[in-house]
Amino acid sequence: MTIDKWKTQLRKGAAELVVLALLGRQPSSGVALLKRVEAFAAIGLSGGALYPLLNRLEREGKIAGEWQPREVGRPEKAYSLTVDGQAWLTAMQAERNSFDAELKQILEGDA
Amino acid sequence: MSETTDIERFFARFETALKTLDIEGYADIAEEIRNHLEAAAAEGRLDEALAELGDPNDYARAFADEARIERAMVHDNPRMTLGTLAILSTRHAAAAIGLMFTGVLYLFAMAFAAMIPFELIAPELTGLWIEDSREIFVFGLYTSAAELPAEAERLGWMVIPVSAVFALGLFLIGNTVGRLALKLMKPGTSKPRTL
Repeated sequence: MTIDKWKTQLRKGAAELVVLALLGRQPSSGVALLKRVEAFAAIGLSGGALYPLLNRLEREGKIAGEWQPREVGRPEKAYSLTVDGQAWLTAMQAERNSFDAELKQILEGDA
Repeated sequence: MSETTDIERFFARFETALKTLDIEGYADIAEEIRNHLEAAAAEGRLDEALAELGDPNDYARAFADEARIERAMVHDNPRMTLGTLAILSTRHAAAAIGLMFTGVLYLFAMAFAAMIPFELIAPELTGLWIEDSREIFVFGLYTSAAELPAEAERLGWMVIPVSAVFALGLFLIGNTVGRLALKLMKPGTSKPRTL
């Protein structure tokens, strides 16, 4: 495995958590979500990965999408976190925190 | 070529692929992707955005595959499991391997299940024979009495429960293997896209 492939896997693992966390703070359209993560180059979320992910999360009932009119242009689909999505996000964050804490210990030579 | 033409060119293939793949809510998906590309074009980043989405047919499949896998896992029946694995097997090695193992296990399960009516219809031709002389055993059905080995059949009516246990066991193992293969295809493990 090359470092690029490993990086892709790392990003894929984080993408769902990133999207749910962002939507948990503020409902957004796909375009707006990409704008919000634009500054985070290491997270590297792109349109190619985002829309199938949003589609899946919506089917799973973790987020809800609603078409909203805009002042200019076509309506946009705004996504927000559902109650199930919030519970899932909380569980994911707890797991992630434990994982990160243990990984940090290992990388710092505490194991 | 204008940016509008580039977007329309992408959509001519993307929408057709979404419709062909019978993706639920395809109009919403198409509209959302159109918004995405138009926003990118407005910022002068259309080429980059189109490159991220990749081939329109492959991109449409990214939506279809996940929905298909979910449907198969929810319905949990052999036909749908095998059908989904067959479709995905052209693009995923795990699906092809899963299809092969699941298919073989289901076939053996069916063969054992078929022993039950045969034992009722033709008990003298159905059963277990151990041929010491040829060091082989036969568990199955002979088509005529002339083919029967010299040795006596060993199981008698017990062919029915033994066949039922093997048929059920192999069916359950096949089901588990099929679901494991589908799980491997679930998001996060399906075809990597550029993130």
